[in-house]
Amino acid sequence: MYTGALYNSFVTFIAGIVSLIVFFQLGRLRKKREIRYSRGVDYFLLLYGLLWIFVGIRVFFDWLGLLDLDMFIWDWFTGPMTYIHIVPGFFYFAWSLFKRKGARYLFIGSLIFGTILCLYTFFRYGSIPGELTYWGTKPVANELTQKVFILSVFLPILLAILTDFFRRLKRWLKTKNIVEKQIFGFNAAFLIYASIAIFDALALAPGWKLLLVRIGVMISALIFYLSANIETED
Amino acid sequence: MFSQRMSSKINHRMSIFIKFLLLSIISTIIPLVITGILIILSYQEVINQFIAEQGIDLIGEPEQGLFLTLSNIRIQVVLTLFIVIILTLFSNVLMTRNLIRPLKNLIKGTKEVAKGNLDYIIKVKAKDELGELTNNFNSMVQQIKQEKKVSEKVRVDLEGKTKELQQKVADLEKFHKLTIGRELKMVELKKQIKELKEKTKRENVS
Repeated sequence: MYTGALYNSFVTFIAGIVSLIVFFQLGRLRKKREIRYSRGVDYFLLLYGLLWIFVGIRVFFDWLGLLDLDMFIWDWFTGPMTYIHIVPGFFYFAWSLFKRKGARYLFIGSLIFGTILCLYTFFRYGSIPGELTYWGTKPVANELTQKVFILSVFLPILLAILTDFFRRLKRWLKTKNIVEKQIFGFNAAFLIYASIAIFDALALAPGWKLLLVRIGVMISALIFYLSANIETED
Repeated sequence: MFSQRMSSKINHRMSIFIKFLLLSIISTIIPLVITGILIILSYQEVINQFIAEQGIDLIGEPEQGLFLTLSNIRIQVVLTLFIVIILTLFSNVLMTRNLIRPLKNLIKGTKEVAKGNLDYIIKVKAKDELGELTNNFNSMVQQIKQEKKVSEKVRVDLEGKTKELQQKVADLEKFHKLTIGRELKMVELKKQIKELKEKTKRENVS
């Protein structure tokens, strides 16, 4: 019964709940007025919220000492969801970066192929259960899945995020358009999330650093919230 | 009407305060309370692990695990401070937006009204004092618009009446000129008659 795990679970829950709030808020805003960006961001936030809530539940089981349940949730939900939850993000960046439909389909298709490959290797070769520490456990996917993920999903999507981040920043500074500001905010949140959560996905932050990573995830969820709530009309 | 306004004032009076209170509870008090509970639980764990099992008399050198737990608790406190700072910043941004957005709308509204656009209505979104202020601003603009309409009507009526009066004055002046002209003629004629009479008298005498 390590209390650090309980603390970890608390922080993870906040991140998950905030992103679910943002998901519902975006849905409400879409009903009220025209939102000029892809629905990909909405569904990304839904899956992101669900993933982190389940991570919270998993870590909570660590605190209770129910390590079997922890591994069950990892194997059947949070492990595969690590790869699945970013799929709506592909649609968002395809919409944001490419005008031509062909380029969009190619971008989405190649990333989905990478995700399927990750899932296949994940289920085929299993995962490595993490050691129980004061801060909880951190299971990790097998090495092959990790490599496939980095090469076929993470690096292309990080490149897409960076490109879109600077493009939108430039556009926002040039036009001072509120929608550009909002999309730039989303991109900033995506960038923070991608550059921090990779440490979690690959278990590169052991011990208390894992909690620091989860605080970073929480920050990205809060930035999503702030960006979603920028007033687009007076 | 007045009582309705008063009741809306009473409903909204505390809401900005409540917002501040809720945000400060969410951003500071809840994380601190949770951390407090976690720290108590950690110490409980330490007690269970190192004292209850071995017995107070048997404790010799403190074990390495004990130091590790204490160091983890210290890290936990530092991380909590970090979380509190983040949540405080977040709630401040949220609160500032909440306050500044209606104020900006009000500034825009006053500028529009100053330009003479009395059809400008600010959307009331907040259910707090600022929302009430915005509502009152809209009512004030509507009132001004109504009064402007009334005064416009009065001005048009007045202009009509003035024109009518001016016409009458002009007619009177014409009539006046006409009557004065006749009177002068009459005086002239009377003078001539008088002269003729005197002339006739003198001729009769001679």
